[in-house]
Amino acid sequence: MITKSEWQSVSHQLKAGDPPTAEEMLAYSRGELSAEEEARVRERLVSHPDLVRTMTEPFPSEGAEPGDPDFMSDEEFATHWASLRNPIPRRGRVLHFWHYSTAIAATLAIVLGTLLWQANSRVAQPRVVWEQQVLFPDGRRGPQNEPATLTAQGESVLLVIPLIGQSHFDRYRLEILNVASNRSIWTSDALRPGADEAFAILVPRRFLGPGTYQIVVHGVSGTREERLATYSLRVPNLGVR
Amino acid sequence: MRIPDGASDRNDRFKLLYQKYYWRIVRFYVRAFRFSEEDGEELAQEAFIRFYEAMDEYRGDAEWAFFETIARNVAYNRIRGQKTKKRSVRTVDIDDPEVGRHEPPTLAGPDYAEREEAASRRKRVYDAIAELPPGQRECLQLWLDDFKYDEIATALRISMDAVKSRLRDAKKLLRARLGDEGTLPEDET
Repeated sequence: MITKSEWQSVSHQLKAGDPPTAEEMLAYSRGELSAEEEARVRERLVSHPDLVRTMTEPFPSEGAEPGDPDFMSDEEFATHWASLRNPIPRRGRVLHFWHYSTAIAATLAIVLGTLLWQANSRVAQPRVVWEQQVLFPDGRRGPQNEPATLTAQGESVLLVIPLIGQSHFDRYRLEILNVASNRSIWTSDALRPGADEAFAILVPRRFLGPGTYQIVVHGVSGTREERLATYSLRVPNLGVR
Repeated sequence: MRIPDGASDRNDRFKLLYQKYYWRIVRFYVRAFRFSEEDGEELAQEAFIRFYEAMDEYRGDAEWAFFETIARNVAYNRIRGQKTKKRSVRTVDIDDPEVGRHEPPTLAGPDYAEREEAASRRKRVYDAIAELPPGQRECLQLWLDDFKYDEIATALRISMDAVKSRLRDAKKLLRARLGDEGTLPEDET
């Protein structure tokens, strides 16, 4: 039996497209679009349930009356009113005070900023949280085509997977295989790539013991899934980190 | 500087609307758009400022319809901006259960045949939903996202009867295509 979460997960994979613009949403909700435009907006709208929710909630039509807790008091309104308006320019001695206080504040900011920068530098030096490493697909790493060696340091590594010549798919599934055991150790759902046509996988070092791994990119298009490229990676034995 | 100093009929009218509606608009943003209360307040203030700038052009019912347009516009633009920003870089954290699943080598996971069967089942379901007529598929997808019939009708701009009939047809087609496994959760009882 297929569980509800499986139905939902598959349904989400089918969703695609940019959210409708504000103008499209308003025109759609008022029925001002042609049948074709309406169908296009509807298809994209269904892919963004958060926008659907905005259509199903009624816009407030009744205001609060005095005495209602929702009715804003005069005092509270005065505060809001002041913040909605720009400050009124001041003149004379007040302006001098503003200059002095600004100069003092600027000096303090520089001193504190320098101290903060020094402190950050000291804290950051001995410990690398993560580093990134760009991988290239097998067959595109020169004549030897040996697996790339993991050189990135840190508690995690950010493996950047550029989609070289494979960017014609709408979505992609990523998989990490352990070559020695020929087992899949992680797989993603079907994902849309970033505008840079690359994925970056944040992998904790504890996850990658010494050995050889393959990151496999599968192209997903509608009902079709195609293995596109493999990025081999060797993790050297560097002892306990 | 958009709101001038000094009293006027216009300012009085604005004040009254603000006092009556501000908190209701904030709550609308929180409820309908799922913004935090802080964001809701920020957007409500932005909407009221824009409204103030052009409020003389509208009166009566038109005034409130105009405000609704502004208020929704402001929020849609915020959502769209957030989505576009999110999409520019795609970083996948393998510890994030939302994007994938991993099986640490030290733990026994489902065997290969089991994984293949699950993948094959997902593909069958995917194919079956993808091949539904668009109207049925849209109803089904919203229904799977836990929207009620009346909400689906509003979102798709169709009648509630149409929603029910499309869902019924979609379920029938899925069962015909997938057999018993095509029975949707609510149909079990």
